[in-house]
Amino acid sequence: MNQPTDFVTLVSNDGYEFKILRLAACIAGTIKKALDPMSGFRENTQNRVDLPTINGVVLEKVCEYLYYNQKHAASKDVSDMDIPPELCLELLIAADYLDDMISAISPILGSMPGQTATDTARASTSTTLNKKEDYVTSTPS
Amino acid sequence: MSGRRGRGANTGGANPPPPAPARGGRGGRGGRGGAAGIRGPHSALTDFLAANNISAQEIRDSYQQRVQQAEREAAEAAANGEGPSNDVEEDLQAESSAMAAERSKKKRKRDQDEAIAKIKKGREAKKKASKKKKGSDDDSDFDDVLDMVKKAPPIPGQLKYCEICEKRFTVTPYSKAGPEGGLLCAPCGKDMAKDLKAEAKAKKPVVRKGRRKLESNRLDGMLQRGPKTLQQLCIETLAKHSEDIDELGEMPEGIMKRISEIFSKKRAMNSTTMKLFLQPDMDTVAIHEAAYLETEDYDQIFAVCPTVKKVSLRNCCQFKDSNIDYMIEKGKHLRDIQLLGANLVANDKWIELFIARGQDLRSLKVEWLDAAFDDQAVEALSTFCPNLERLKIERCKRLGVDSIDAIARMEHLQHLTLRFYCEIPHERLIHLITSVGANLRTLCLEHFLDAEDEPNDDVLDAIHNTCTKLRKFRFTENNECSDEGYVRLFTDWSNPPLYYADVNSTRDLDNTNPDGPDEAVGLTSAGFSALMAHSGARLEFLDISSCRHISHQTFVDIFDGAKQYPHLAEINVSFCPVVDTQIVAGIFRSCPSIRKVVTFGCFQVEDVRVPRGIVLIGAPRAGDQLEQFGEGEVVEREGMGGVGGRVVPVMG
Repeated sequence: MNQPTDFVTLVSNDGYEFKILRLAACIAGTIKKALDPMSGFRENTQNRVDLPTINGVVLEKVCEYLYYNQKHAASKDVSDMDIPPELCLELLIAADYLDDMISAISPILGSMPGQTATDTARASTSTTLNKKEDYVTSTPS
Repeated sequence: MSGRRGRGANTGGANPPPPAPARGGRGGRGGRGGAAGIRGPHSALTDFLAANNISAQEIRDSYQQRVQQAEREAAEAAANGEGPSNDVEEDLQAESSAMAAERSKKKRKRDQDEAIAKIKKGREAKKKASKKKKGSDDDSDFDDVLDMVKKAPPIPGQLKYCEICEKRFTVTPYSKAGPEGGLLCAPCGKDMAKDLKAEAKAKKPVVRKGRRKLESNRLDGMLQRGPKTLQQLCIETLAKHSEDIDELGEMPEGIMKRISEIFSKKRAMNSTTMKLFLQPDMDTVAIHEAAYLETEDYDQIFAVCPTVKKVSLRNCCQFKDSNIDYMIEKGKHLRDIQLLGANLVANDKWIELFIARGQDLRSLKVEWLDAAFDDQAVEALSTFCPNLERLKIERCKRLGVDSIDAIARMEHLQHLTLRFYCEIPHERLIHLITSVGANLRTLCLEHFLDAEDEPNDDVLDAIHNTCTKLRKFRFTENNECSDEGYVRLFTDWSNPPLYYADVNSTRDLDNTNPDGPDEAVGLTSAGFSALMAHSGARLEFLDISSCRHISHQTFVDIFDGAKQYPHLAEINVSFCPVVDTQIVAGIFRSCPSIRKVVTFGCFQVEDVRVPRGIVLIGAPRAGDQLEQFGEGEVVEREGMGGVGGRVVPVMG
C-alpha cells in the first residue's frame, strides 16, 4: 500500500503521462472518486489514473484547467481561460466525463475489487445510454 | 519655459563659478567673483572650460582636496607606527584614493545606472517571488535603493546633454530621468511622461469591462464566483464559434440541451446551426428561439427525427400550414407540442393537427396567437384529444368564453395554464374549476377578471373546495378578490403544501387612492400569513410582487429568523414598499436554501450584506453593495438545474 502522494499521474489514451498536484486533480469529480481511499479503486494505490477516453492534447488542456481552477478558486472576477476552438468539442466531452459521470454512480458499484473507477464510469455510462436510447454509445473499448 | 530661461542665462556667462575659499597657493584668477560681479582676466582655456560647464576652480579644489587627503592619510599611517617602510603602498593608496575621487563623477553615474537596473530586476523578481519570501533581505535592499534614488533630485543649474536627443540643456528640479538613468531635456521629458502615462493606462486592469455582463447574469439569478466550469467555458467558446461548427458529434443530451439554449440566447440559431442539434434518434427537439428559421427548416426537424415525441418551438414565426401537414405526415410519435407565435397556421390546420394526433396528444402549449386559433380549435382539441394532460393557452386573441367551456370537458387535465384577453364571467370560470380542478396539479390563472359581476371571492372558494392536488398555483393580476378570500383559500385547505406560489399583482388598482380601500383588496397581511402557514414548509418559489398592502409587521413576523422555510429558494417581493433592509436580512435568516431575492422598487432596502451563494437583485438603493459577498460559509455551487422545469437562463 502506497502512501498518498502529493502528485498523481494522469494517463491519456495515447500514453502521455501528466503528473499533477493531487489537490488540483481532485477538482475533477471522476478523478477525485477514483483516488478516494474509501472507494478502494486500484487508482488509489497506484496514484495513477488511466483516462482511456481522453487523448494527450485534450488531457494537457484539462490539466491546465485544473491548475487554473485551483489557482482562482477563491477569487471573484476570474478571467476566462483560453480554449482553442478546435479542441472545444473534445474538451467538452472530456469535461462532462471528468466532472459528472462518476458522481452518478452509487458507492456500492465502486467497491468491486480490481476494477478501476474509469471502468465503472464507462459501464454506467453505457447502461444509462442504452436505457435512454439517446444516442449511440461512444465509449471506446 | 524655465529651462529655456536658465539656458539663456547660462550661455550669457552670467553665472559665476562658486566662490572658492582662498586657501593660499595660486591666487584668485577669476576666483573672486563676489557679489559685484567683478572678476579678473580669464584665460582662453578657462573661458572654453566655462562654456563647457567645466569649472577650473572645481578642478583645482578637487586636486587640493586629494593632496590634502593623501597627506592626512600619510600622517595617520605614521601615527599608527607603520614607519616609512611601506612608502610604496602608501603612495599607491594615495593614488588610488585620488583616482577614486577623480572618477567619482563617472562612478556616480554608473552607480545610478546599476541601481536602476537593479530596481528593474528587483521589480521583476518581486513579481515572481511568492508571498512567503516577502520581507527577505533582497527585497528590502531593493527598497532601500529605490528610496535612495527617488529621494535624490537632480541638482539644478548644471548643464547636461539630454540622453535622448543629445542636445545640451540646463537641469532644473523638474528634469526627468531618462531610461538609461541620465537626464532628459524638457521636450524629451514631456514625451517620456506622455509615454509613461499611456503605458500606465494600458497596464491598469480594466475594471469596468464585463460589469454589464455581470449585472446581466445577476439579473438572471446566476452567481459567478471563482472560475467557470470547464464545460461552461467550452460551451461559451462553442457559442462564439457557432458558424464554424460542422458537427457536434455524439454529445450527452444534457450538454446538447445547454448548447442549444445558449445558441438560442445568442440568436445564433439559424438554418445552419439548427441542423447540428438534429439527430435521428432524438425524442425531444427544443428550439427556444426559432425566429431565424425558415419554413423548410421546420420540415427538416421531422425529416431527420421522425421518432420525435416532443417538439418545442418558440417564436416560430415561419411555421406554416405546410409544416403542419408535414408534421402530421411524419411525426407519428408526437405527444407534446409547443408552438409559440405560430401565426401563419390557419384555424383549420390546427383542427387537422388535433384530429391527426387525437388520442396520442398529451400536451399542447400555444402562446401569442392572434390571427387564428379560435374557440373552434379549442373545441376540436377537447373533442379529439381526450387524453390531454397538459394545456397552456396564453395570449391568444381570438379565444372567448366558449373555450373555457371546452376546456372544462378535458377530464384528464393535470396542468392548466390560461391567460385570456377577454373577460370571463365568474360562473364560467367556476364551472371550469369545478369540472377539472380535482385532478389538477398545476393551476395558473392570470388576469381573469369580470367587470360585469360584483367583485367576489367565489373563484377562490371554488379552488379551495375543488382542488386538492395542486403543487403549483398562480393567480395573478387580479383586483377583485379580497384578502378575506385568500385567507379562506389557504386556511384549512385540504390541498398539500404548494411548492410554487405566485399571487403577484393582486391589489387594488385605483391610482387616485394608492393606499387602497378600507376593506383590503388582493393578498395582504392576513392572506400572506395564511399562505405561508399553509405552504411555508414546502414552498420553493414565492412571488408576491406588487402585493402592496402587506404590512411591515407581517413581513417581520413571517421572516423573523426563528420560523424556517427550508425549501424556499426564490422569492420576489418587488414593489412591496414596506420591504426594508431588516426584512431582507430576515429572509436570509429564515430561508436557509434561498438563492435569489428580487426586490425591484423596494426603496428601503439599503446596505444589505448579501451572504454568499445568494443573489439579490433589483434593490434600487443598494448600489454597489450588491457586488459584495457576505461572510457566510462557502456554499457549494450547485448545478444550475432548473426549478420546477422552467427554462433556466444560460450563461453567456
